[in-house]
Amino acid sequence: MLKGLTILLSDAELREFNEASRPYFGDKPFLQLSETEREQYLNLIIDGSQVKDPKLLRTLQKVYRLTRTRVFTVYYSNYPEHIVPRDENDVPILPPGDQHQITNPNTKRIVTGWDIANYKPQLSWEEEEERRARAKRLGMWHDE
Amino acid sequence: MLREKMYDVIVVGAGFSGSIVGTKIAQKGVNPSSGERLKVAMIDGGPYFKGKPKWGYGIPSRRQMFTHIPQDMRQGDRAGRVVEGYTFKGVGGGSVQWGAKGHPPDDKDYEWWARETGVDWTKENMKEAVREFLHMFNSHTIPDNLLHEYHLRFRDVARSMGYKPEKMLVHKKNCIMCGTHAEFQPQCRYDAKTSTLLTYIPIAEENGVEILPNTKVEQVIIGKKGTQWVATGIWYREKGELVQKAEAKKIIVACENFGTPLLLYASGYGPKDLLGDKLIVENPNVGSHIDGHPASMGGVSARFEDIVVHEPGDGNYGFWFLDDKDSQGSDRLFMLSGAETHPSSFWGAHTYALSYWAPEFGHKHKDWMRNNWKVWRHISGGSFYGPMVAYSHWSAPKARLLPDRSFQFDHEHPTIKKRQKECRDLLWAVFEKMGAKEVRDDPAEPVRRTIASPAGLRHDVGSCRAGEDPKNSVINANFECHDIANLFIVDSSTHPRATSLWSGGAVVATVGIFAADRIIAKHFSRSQM
Repeated sequence: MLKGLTILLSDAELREFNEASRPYFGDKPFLQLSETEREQYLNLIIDGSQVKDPKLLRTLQKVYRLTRTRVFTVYYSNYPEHIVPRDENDVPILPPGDQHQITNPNTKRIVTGWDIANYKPQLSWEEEEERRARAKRLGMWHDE
Repeated sequence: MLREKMYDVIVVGAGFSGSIVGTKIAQKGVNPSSGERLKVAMIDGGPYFKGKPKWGYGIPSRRQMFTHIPQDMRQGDRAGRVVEGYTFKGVGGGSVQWGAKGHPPDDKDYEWWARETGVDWTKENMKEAVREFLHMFNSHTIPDNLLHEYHLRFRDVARSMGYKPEKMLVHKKNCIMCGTHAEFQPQCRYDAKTSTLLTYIPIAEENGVEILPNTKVEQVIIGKKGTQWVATGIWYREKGELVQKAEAKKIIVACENFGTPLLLYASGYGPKDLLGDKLIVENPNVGSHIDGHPASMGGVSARFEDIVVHEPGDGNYGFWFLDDKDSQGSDRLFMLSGAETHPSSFWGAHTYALSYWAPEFGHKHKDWMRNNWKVWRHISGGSFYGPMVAYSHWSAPKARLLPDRSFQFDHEHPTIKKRQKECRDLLWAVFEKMGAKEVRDDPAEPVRRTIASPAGLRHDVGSCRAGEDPKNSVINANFECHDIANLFIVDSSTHPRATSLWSGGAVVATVGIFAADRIIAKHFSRSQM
């Protein structure tokens, strides 16, 4: 999930983020914090008023913002089904006979980001046909 | 295979500009000394989804390739396929078709180009290119009854404030209004967005252009003939193959505003201070003068409770207006009623997770995502969140591209800060007059800018700009390189300055058509015999 983030964040910045929680949470680094404490630490970073060193605050907010962006981007792209399997020619591998539903079908076994967001990204063939008929009725069908 | 072949023309980059110029030269150009047709090759580092368009339906290869998962075909910070750190969008490019909207240059833009570098790219000289662009890309506007109320309110408010709102030009054919058309992808599954892949490339095939996808050009070969530097060919590499050489009488580089200077740097052409002992031909303007629209100027969005969208319509387009500070159009704000107004026409569910209205994290965030919309593709209720796009057009500091692909650009320049504030205040006023329940500043914009665009610019141009004087430009007004014979550049890098409307592919395509006509007239027509 965090692939690609290392281009924007250095190891030193990630270490600083992990260590900077110590003064506020009984000398515990971020990775040892409980879920509630982690929420408190993140809120502290967002608020910023308790971190007096402006350089440190910039680093903490940078790590938080970039990580949040990355995590949400991947998760709400239907993680863990956020990648379409492709063959050696980069053509998506589809179930036999599947001509239209090119995206990974949502699994019913787990709840994905799309389920949570009520996101329905793909039209069925029937829905496509309805929309083509509608475009023709509205005079927005320019030619065959 | 290019190996051991000699071409009349090699076009490096079969994106938006390259496919237009390569197609037109193959279709209309001839060898001036023999009158014979030309042997043209078009090379691109990205894929080629071949096939004749079926407007509104799509063809199997393109339907399969363009998924609705943003991370799939999209890698890095721009849509396309990344090979060795370079991004290739593929044959046909990826500009107009992202949003399927945009305008050719405004009247003032032609004047500014002439003022900036002296090019004769006037409205009169470009009128045929504009006409061809509007025809080939099926440009039109959307009827009022298909626009969301949000856009109509924007129009009415703009009028009440003394502005002259106009409708956005759209470029598509047989759109089925799927509601996902503005997704951050370079093509359309249903072949509705009119890209060069669907307009010019089929003509290129009919005229015998050799199209080589998945082939990376490493260098333009620059040699010396007497006292004159001359481009004689390229070093290139097909997928998984060794580096090969191909020769051509004319080389046209069309790798867009970032790719073109990087290829020229690799070929030994550019500023001495950047290339050092790799320098062959010096021109300090290569990679400099990069202009564009700052990725964010407003940083404001609004929530409406009395606008409910029940049906995905053609809601991505709307109206725009210009806020001019002087009669020359030298200092203007462009305001657009939302690039992706319809919620499901955003780039995917994650866009809403990252919106400024979503709680930061945890259960509150998840509940907001769960409850905010019923089903995104079939909106049945909820508040409407109105974005608005705005950018400024002014004589701002220019950016410079370095060989390591980083940028020198002063985001904190006082002019930028001043214009951002003016833009933000105007956006806020428009939203309030439109009846927004709540208006907010956008706190996360600086970070988003970092991820979306390293230079903080979009619609970027100018890295190899055209001009009459070699001291401040790279090519002349006929797209011929000042310093190297037989080398041409045709892409966004040649524009002397960003234009002031929603530009992107519309201007790139217009200039590409104009360039092709000029190159044919001067180098590949019977009148030259």
